[in-house]
Amino acid sequence: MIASPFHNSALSRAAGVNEDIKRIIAIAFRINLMALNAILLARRAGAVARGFGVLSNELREFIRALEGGMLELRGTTARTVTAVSDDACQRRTHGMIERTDQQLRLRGIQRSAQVQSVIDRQELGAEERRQDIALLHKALMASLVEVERLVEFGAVLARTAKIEGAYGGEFADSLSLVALQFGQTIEDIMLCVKSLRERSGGAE
Amino acid sequence: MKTCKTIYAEGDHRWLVVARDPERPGYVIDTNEYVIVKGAEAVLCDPGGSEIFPAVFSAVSAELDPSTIKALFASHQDPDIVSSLSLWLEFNPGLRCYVSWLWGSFIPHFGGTAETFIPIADGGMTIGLGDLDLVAVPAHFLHSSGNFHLYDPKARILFSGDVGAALLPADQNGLFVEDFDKHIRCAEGFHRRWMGSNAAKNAWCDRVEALQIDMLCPQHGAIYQGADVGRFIEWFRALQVGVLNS
Repeated sequence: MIASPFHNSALSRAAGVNEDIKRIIAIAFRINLMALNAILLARRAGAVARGFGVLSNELREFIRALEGGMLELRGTTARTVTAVSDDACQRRTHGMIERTDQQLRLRGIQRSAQVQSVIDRQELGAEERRQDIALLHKALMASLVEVERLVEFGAVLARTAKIEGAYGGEFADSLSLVALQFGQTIEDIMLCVKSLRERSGGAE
Repeated sequence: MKTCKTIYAEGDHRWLVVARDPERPGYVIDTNEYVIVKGAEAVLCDPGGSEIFPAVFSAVSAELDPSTIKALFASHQDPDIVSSLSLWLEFNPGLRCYVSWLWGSFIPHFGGTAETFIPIADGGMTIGLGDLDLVAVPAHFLHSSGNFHLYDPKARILFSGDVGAALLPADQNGLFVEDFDKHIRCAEGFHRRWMGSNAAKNAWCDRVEALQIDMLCPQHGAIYQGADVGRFIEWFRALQVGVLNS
């Protein structure tokens, strides 16, 4: 017997979510380096780029928070994979118990108390597993909402960096370029988060 | 549908065989399961794969209360031998499983906990069933490196796992071997390929020749009885095993 389409899709979605998380963590590492360079550049630029320096620091904080959010998402995804895999195994067992019950009936053997108690236990277990998976999905969505808020904040920082860069005097071109890179990188993150949302949205 | 038949009965001491399943999917090898009953207790030998559990459980239920099965005896670790373990445990979590110590940490991948398994040392052991003493007879490397057969001295029956197995065509579906020469042709290729050691094979032949055996019951194919038991042992001793081409 193979896993049901539910499990196939839930497991492959979880694998996809994991890939998105890996991508976001890789981008976060990149943006962290960019922010570090931007802080140094702002120091060289002096007073005219003080605002830019503050924003770059904020971006580094943002990245730290984003990485934390990703770790939380990864943990929830791993727990979901475990729960869904366990459910797939138990469903297979449940299917076998149902087939056993059918065969007993075919032979005219009445369902014994032993068989009944196994069926009852299986059904109770299935309900508990459904509730666990629903709770995990809820936790996943809550983490995702937090990440989306964070990324919106990151987009605001990137936009403000563009404005601050324009006031950078003789460093304006360099600072604007860095601000543009910030903006593009945040957009990359937004795309990944969108993909995360799409993959996670139908996971229940 | 698999059926459960009695092959030995003496008072409250019985041997049942669950054999031949014409309805099983073609990609699943057919297997025989044996139940030894003594009074209110039973041991199930090589309970089979999970795919055939519904057929085995319901066939056994037609003959006895399955809750009387106190233990499983697994000749070795293959999936067609014991992958149904977790399903049997669903019905009786206290079930014990006798198996070679070698597979103690492998078979739990099919199910069970540390409490489930009773490891059999390489030299074998006695397994009590009511007032019977069943004997786990070493059959290592035939074909598994940790392999046991189960001998019932009172019934004079040897459950021989894969030894004696034959892959029979659909029209040769008797419970017992009827024409030894015809039957053994269906066993030859299997034994040459699956049995890996001539030394182990000869040691097994010496060991079982010393036993009084009226029936030799393999996990696949028909049961040898009477003079066919001796014929089989003689045939097996002469066979060169552990070779690729039959």
